[in-house]
Formats: sequence, structure tokens, C-alpha cells
Amino acid sequence: MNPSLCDLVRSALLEGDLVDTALREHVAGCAECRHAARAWPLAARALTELPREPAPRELDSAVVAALHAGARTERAIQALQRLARLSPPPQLSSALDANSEGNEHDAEAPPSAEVERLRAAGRAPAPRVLDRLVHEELLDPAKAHVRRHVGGLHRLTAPEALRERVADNFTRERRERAPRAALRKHAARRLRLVLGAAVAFALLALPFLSRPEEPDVKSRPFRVERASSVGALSPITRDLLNAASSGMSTRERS
Amino acid sequence: MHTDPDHKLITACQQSLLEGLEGPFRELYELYKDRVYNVCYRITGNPTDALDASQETFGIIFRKIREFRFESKFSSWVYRVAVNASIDLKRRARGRDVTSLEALDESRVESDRVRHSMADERVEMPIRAASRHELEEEIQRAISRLSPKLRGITVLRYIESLSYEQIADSLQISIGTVKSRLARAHEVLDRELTPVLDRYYLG
Amino acid sequence: MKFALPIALTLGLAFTAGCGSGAQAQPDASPRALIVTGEATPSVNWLQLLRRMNRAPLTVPHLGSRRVEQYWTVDGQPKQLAYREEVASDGTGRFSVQALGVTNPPMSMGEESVFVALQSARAGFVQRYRDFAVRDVDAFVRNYSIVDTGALVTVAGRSCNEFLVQRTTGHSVRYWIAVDRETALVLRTRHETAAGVLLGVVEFETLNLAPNFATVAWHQPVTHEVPLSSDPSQALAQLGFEPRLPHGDSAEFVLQSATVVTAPDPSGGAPRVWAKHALTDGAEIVFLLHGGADPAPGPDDVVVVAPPVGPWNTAEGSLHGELFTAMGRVSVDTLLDLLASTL
Repeated sequence: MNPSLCDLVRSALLEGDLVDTALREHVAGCAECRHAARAWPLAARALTELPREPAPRELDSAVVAALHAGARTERAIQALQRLARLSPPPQLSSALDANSEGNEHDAEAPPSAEVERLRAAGRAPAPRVLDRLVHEELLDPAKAHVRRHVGGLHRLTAPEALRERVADNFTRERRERAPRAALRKHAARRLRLVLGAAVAFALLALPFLSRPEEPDVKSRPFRVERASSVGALSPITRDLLNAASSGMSTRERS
Repeated sequence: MHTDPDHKLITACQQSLLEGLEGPFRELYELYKDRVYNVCYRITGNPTDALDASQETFGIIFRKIREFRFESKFSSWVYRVAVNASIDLKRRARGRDVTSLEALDESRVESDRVRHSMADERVEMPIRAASRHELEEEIQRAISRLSPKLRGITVLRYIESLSYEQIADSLQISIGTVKSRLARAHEVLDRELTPVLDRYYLG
Repeated sequence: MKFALPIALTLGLAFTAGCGSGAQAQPDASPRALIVTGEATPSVNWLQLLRRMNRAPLTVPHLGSRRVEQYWTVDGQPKQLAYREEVASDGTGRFSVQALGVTNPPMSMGEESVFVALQSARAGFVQRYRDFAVRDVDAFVRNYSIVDTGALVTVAGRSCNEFLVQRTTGHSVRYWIAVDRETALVLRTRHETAAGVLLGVVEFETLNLAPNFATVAWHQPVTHEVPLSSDPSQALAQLGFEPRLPHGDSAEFVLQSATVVTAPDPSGGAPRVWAKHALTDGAEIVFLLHGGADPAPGPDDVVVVAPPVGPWNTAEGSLHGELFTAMGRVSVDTLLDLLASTL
């Protein structure tokens, strides 16, 4: 068997034509290629002649039902938003309370007449966040999931120690310049050093300063998004991360 | 300038999604439903799974259509979702013990280990398949025993008549890979199908 | 742009002024003796030591206790986990890692019991992947430098050489390790960022090299993870799909192990089978998981990067219609490069 010619024969068979004289001569002398030249077109013909199965009527109703269920849910959400909020079950209230540590500053709208009526009847209005959570989840579960877990990077601030250090250095510098006679020679030498360093720094810094202020993003064949929590990861990844970190990844979320 | 023939329709869907199947999405669905069902049927091998996979496919398209940015052809994405939904359905049904043809060690082939997922559970020796219907069943059985990757390529090439470029775009592989996998599919199908096809086509 | 030069001058002045008049003194980290690998051809003695360090954990019989400290931050707040564990190795490949108790943060008895039980379930991972080790000598020599600080330290009553290990390319990481002079076991590891921020400590407190293993319960391999065949057709039969690995320049990472992992499907369907590859750069481990066809592929390839947990970074996504995850004690860039190279 000649590997390269046999590959060419197969490639030609996939294209549907074996017209090249050299390939035809090879086929005549190669048992495996002779077999392929006979069998492959037969298989291709048989596959191509398989009847196309039209979509059954059941598919129409299945898809219609699924999509209209989604649309009905959207209309229900809109109707819900027009209604006064009802009190959630106790378990949901406590769960939301436990998770709402950062959300207590959500501004509450002035109570409507409906809300006042409910309060008078001894029922507490549900927190505003419940509407938003339900709306997101029912309207588009996948997108809600992505939106929940795509967040910006934390911007780091310089530690206080840096500010103090720079301030100390400037103060020390001013004090050291006070005795002029003693420092003049020293100052001239420092000035030369400073100017030299500044020029060198400028040469190095110019390419960076001329760029717009954005992170150096490497070009990749996919889009990169940032999750705000490891909870967005798949279960197998979370398990692996838990094992690697001795459970730190779970503690991070608690 | 957009070269995607479905551009206007997709944009309309992206803008009026909340109308469900009544608006432009209905038109999109009618345009693709037969193609999607056909792919799902040939990959899953039975009508019930094909229905589930097709419904799943349209559910995914509906949920994610707003993310579509025309960086590739819409039809390529639809085929990719249909192929993957079908493969995933088969993965979830692995309890049926479908064994990939090319993974079988020739010395260990036992006919009773190979079960079929066709509605018709008759297992006939290939040499006895005579009618067109039986031939089609044999071919479908052979397709069903290909690995998921080879099955998808075979169906897209021979059932949907996609070009190598279209298959490459759908499955996000190179044209060279398309051809090499197609060649591999032929080699695997050859073992099962050649005796049947010889009898049927060559008398 | 026209302001660049004056700004640069000003910054340069501030920079030089800060340098000139006494920057905060750095601790004296100058090693007293300096032997460096990773640059020139390593000496035979260094290679011999690295090979012994590579083999020691499973070939040197020992029984001991050690403390483990792990440090990380959440929203800028420092967190710490500290616990003790007992480790054993019979020198023929059998091992045991048993958590003994948590010293920080304070836990109730119930919480501590759960932690101990979970750690026992993770014993295989802990033994193979959690701590610093020379996992592949050739890759280690390519990617790391190791410096003998010249210090002799005592750990668990044993005399040890102290070394500084640093990555020479790519992500920055630093390990101060104490290596037993007789057995080449790593008895203490201090893991830091390149800036010196402490990430973790693992240190033996007791060590017995001629122990009685009568009471040791040896680790049993988990049943949901089995070796992945290197034969393509067998691997296909195991997984139902062809596994993908990074390709291209493989000098940085080499394959250490390949397994098949079965994990529950979050949508409630049948369990999903994953190909799990462990790659090493000589010391660190990166996991690359491939889950086959994504049942709901989007129109674009997307990778989601999770926030780091201590030194561990994670990225997972759908690439060309297939599910991938990369995780390791390496930079996010390294993980993304590995994922890109599978395409």
C-alpha cells in the first residue's frame, strides 16, 4: 500500500471523481483502493438516497407550546409587576434576608395604596429584589445566569502605606536641602542624576503613556468573560476547586 | 454588507422575540424545521428522540438568538446546535448500550452486545435485506453505530448535502478535518454496508 | 500626547527622589551560597537531587504529622485556613492522608467533623496535586530555577537544606522549601507570590522514617475516576468522543496523567463523562477537562474566568461546540493559552 497515493485516491473518491490517470493506474494495481473505489460511491449514493424525514406535526405543537409558555410567562411577569407585592413564604423571606446584606440600601418606593391595604391586613410586602430576581429568572434563565455572574474586575487602590512613604520622602528631601552651602554640590549632582533618570524614564514611559488606558488584551479565538463568583462554574469544576483549595472555594461564598 | 440570506429575518426575530412563535420566529422556524428534524432523526436514529432533540434545538436558538452577531452563517449555527443536541440526547441514553462501530475490537465482536435504537427491533443478517425499506433500516443502523463526530459529518454531508466549507463552518473544524473524518466514516461503514449495498445495487 | 514628556519628567523625579533618599529597606534575602539551575546545564548532583525529590514521597517509607496553612482574600479581606493532618507512605506506592483537626478558623465539632471527612475524600488529590513537588524533572529544569540559600534548617527534628524555587518564565511564583538531606523529602514548603505575599505553608511537625503502619488506613482509589486509554479507539469507546489536548509548543507543559471522570449532570440527566488531563510544568499542575459536545452551544465561543481562590485560577467555556475547563495554580493567561491551543 502506498500511503500518499492511497490518500489521494480516497480524497478523489470523496470529491466524486477519479479522473486522474495516475490515480486510476494506481487503483488498478492496489487491492484496497480498488475496493474503496467500488464501495465508497455505493455508500455515498445509498446515504444520499435516504428519504428526507419531514418534521412531524407534533414538533409544531411542541415548539409552539414551549415558546408560548415563555411568552405567557413574560406577560405574567408584567402583570405581577403591576400588582402590589405579596408577602413571600417565611423560608424565602429568611433566605432573602440572609443574602440581602448588601442590598439593604435598595431604595424602596413610596408605598402604594395597595401596599398600605396589605399592611393593614397584617401582610408585609415582598422585597423589591424578589421581583427583579423572578423577572430575570423566568424571562431568560440562561441570560439571567450569565448576567448574574458576569461582573467587572475589582479596581485596586494603592495602600495607605504608599502615600505615607511618598509623603515622608518629600519631607525628608526638603529638610535635607536646608543647609545650602553643604548641599549645593550634592544637589547639583542629584539634579544631574534626576534629569538623567527622568529622560530615561520618559523614553521608557512614552509608549505606555501614548496608549489609551486599557488592559493589554491578548487576542484569542474566543470571547473572555469574568464571573463574579465561583458559583458560576460547573459542578465538576467546583468539586475540583474544592479539593484543590481544601474547601476554600466554598468558604469564599459563605 | 451581510451575506447571510437569513439576515433580515434574524434581525426581526432579535427585535421582536417576545411574540414567541407568532412573529418572524414562526417564519424562521418554518424555514428550518425540516432541516433540523432531518438531522436530528438521522443522528438519533428514532422519531421520538428526534422530536426531543428538535424541540431542544429550537429552544436553544430562541433563547440565544439575541447573542448572534453574524460572524458566521446562521444556518451553520443551527446545524451545530442540532448536531450537538442530538449527540447529547444519545449520550444521555447511553444506557441502551449503543456501541461505536470503530471502537469494536474485531476479535471481540458479539452480535448480542450490539442493540439498536430503531423502533423496529428486528435484527436481520445484512445479507437478507432485500426491500428498499429494509435497506434504509440497515443504513440507518450503520449510521447510528458511528461515533458522534462521524455521525454528524456523515449526516451533514450526505443527508443535508452540505459542502465541505459549510460543514467546516458548522462544526468549527478545518476542511481537512472534515475530509479525513468523512474518509474514516466510509472505512467504518464499509464493513457493515458493503455486502448489503452490493446485493441491492449490483444484484 | 503633548503632556507625556512633562508627566514623565515629573514621574521620573518622584521615582528617583523616592529611590535616592532611602526606600524602605528590604529584608536581606541574599543567599550565602548560590547554585542555580534552569540557565546552564545543571550539574549531575542537581539532577540527582531533583530525581530523588521526584520519587521520595512514594518511595521513602514515612509516617508523620504536618500543619497546613492556606491564605486567600475575598473582596480584599484576608482569610486563613489552618489544619493538621497525618500522612503516611509505605514506600511501595500506598499512601494515606488523614486530616486531624482544624486550628483556624474556629469551628464547631460538627463543622470540624465534616471538614475532616471531606479532606479524607480528597486524600488522593492532596497526595498528588495539592503541595509543591518536583513532578517532572525535565520540565522542571526547563521552567524553574532552584537556588540553594546555604541555610541548614531543622524541620520535624530533621536536618534540611533550604532552597528557593522560582518560575523563570510565564507566571510568577516562589517556593521556599526545606528538603531532608537524607531522604530528599520536602518537609516544609512556603508558597509566596513573586511580591512576597504568603499563599500557603505546609510543614512537617513530626516524622518517623521507620514507622509501624499497623493502624494506617491506606487510601483507596475512587471509583468514578479511571485511567483514560492512550489508544485513540479505546479512548473513544470510554468517552463517546475524541479527547482533545493542547497542541503546539509542548515544552512548557507535559502530560502527567489522563483519566475518565463521571460527574452528575446539573440538568438532571445521565452523568456526563469527562476526559481529565493533568499537565505539569515540572512543579505546578494544570487540569484540562474536556466534556464533549455542549448540549446548548451559543453562537460564539466563550470562556468564563472565575475569581481566584487562593493561588488557583479557573476558566471554563464552550469552544467549537464542546465543553472545556482549565484549572491550576497558574495565571489566567496561561489557562487561556492552554484552552486556545486545544482548538
